Amino acid sequence: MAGLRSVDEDPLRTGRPRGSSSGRSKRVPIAPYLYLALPVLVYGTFSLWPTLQLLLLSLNDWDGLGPQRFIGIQNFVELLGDDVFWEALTHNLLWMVGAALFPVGIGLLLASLLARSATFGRTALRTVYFLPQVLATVAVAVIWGWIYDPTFGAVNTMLTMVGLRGLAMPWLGDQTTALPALFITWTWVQYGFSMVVLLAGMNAIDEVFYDAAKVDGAGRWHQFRHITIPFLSGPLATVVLVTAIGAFQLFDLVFVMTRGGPGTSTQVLDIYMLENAIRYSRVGYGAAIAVALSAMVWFFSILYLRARGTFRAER
Amino acid sequence: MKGFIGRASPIFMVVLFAACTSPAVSPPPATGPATSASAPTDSPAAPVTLKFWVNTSTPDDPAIWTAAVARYQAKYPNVTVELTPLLFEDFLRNMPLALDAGTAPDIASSPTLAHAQDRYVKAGKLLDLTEIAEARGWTTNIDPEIIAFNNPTVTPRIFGVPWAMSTVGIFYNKTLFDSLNLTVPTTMQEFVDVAAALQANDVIPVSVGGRDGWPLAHLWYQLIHTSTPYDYLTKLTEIDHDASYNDASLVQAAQIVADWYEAGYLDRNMLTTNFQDASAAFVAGRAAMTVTGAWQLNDFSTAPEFEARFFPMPQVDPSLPWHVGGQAPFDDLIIPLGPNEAAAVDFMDYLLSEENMIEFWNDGEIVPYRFATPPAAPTLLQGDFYAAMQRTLPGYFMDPYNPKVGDTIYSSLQDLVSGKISAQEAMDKVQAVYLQQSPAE
Repeated sequence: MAGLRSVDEDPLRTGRPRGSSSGRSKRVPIAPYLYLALPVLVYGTFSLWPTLQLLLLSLNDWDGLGPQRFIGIQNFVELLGDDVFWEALTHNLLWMVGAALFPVGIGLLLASLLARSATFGRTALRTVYFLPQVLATVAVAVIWGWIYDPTFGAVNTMLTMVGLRGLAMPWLGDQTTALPALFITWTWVQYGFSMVVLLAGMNAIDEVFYDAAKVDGAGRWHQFRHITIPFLSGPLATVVLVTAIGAFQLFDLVFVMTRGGPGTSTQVLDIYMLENAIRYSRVGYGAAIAVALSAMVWFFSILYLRARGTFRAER
Repeated sequence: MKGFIGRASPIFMVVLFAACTSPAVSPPPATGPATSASAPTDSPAAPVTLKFWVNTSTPDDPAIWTAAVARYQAKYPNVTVELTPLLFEDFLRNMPLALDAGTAPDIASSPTLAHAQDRYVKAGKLLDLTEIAEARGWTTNIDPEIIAFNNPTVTPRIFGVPWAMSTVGIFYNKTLFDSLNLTVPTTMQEFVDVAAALQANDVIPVSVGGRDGWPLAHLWYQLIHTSTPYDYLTKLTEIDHDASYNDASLVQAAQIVADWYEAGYLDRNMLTTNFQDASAAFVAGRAAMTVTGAWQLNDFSTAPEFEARFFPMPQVDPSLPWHVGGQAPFDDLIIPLGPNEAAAVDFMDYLLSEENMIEFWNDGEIVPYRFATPPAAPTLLQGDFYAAMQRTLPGYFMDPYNPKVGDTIYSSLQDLVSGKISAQEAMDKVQAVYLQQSPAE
């Protein structure tokens, strides 16, 4: 330890300039604070301040034009008894569970195929698989709206062509199939992201581990289970987290394809928040939904990261 | 944690935007008006630029407005009118924000939504037009009852004046009707018989944009106005809790919608069909009838290759006066408070003048102007509309009076035709939300 400078000797931490003795004047260097000032200002202005305003707004009754009226937690109490809120929340939660499984699973499968096999045209395939991710969501929604169209849509047309006309139906117009149909569309968009991140993670794994495993007689499954997956825990965590949070940010796809209908069968929190804040002129109540939504995102994020931390510690 | 805040923040951008704007009072007029607002004038005294927002149902609508603006600017070269067309929902989103931020237009053709207008008035954002309307003769040229219909929460004051009328009913393919020897139905039974005949000929009897909710609700409004006494519906619009949405007569109307859907008289794919697609199905000849209103008059006068005509929905209970849901004055001209109020009033005076009303009429609008001699209808379809409005009485769109109740009507009717709930349960759902609303002050 003698050769290392202790933390106490670091001039940035002690506030002492290099070469000055402890008995001299204690000048605090301002450079670090200046470096921090801009990001703090930007973060405070565009993230913290609006978040605080949002919190305050959620405690008020406001129609968006007149004076605000402080009502404490009344908006949150009302949320507890709001059936549509609970239905929308259920849809978001179901979506989150599905999001953690399907787009990530498909991405993992495709990444495995592309990373560890000598597939011809891998680069082209990667591009093709990733393409939905770069398309505008509204364009995706319109295209998939056509695909699901009961009259001329590709799904019903194909079902008819293979003799399954009886299964043809208005996919987005049926309360039982509308939400799954939307989820399939969303999965089609999202799996490309998972695939790219996981593929990058797989490419970073040293080939020597696989060679050693082969020498030990490990088959493909065991290589995948005991080498690929453990090395991918970091990228997997990122992908699952980002994808799951995306489940709580659902708006444009649902808004364009079903607007939350038929009935409230595809209603989600973001649309319900917008309806309250803008259509019903209940900005305070809309803000309360936004606060509840962000609280849930935080809760699940922390829960997941804690679980991941525990998992890594155990390893 | 910072990352999470950053990630989560985009999802409530809309609310944050509202949060960042304070509910401040709009700035007072910077200068005195160019001319006296109440007295009619030939032209504004000084060069002025007016910001003019118009609610449009389709991007083609501004044609009548661009023409009106061009006429006005030709007449008064010192006035420049900057026209901004906004689709219905964009208008509803943007107007409160603009009023709040002090960036509102000088004059607007606003969707007639009692609820929204009431908010603008309560916030002190609109010019009170009561005395101006009298001085300029607007209340003489337009039936005061029609003006009052659009100012329900502020009557007898006037904050908006309608420039057009609408009614809702059935557009039909007359060419197809003629080829199948079908006549315009005048009773409910005849309507059902016609629908059944069309269905037997592999034509969708009625296309409805059920996915959007409101077109399906419009069909229901047609039915409740002749299944339920008008005064009772008035109470519902006033959020009078003596009236209820799960009254037997309203449930009966919902049941008719469900029965027609079940029988295939309404497009079986209507829950995946939006308003535009429903209109397109009619124009393409796939559907023989469609339920919509005067805002599609121009489209259906020109677009179809067949002869499109119109009739009002037959009465559920012929013993009741024949009110028609949605037969009402259309959009309102309103003037937000601001420095150009006087010039805006002059422009509004022109828009409501006989000269401009005739132009609007010739462009296919049903105008509320009391002509000494009504001009001839430019098309047979417009003539049908006019005739229908002579035979029937005004009625409500139920949704604007309380958008939350309106949205619940949409979703409940969608649930109903999906077979998820019964007509009684659908109306019970609406009633539950209705009971949460406060009566108008």
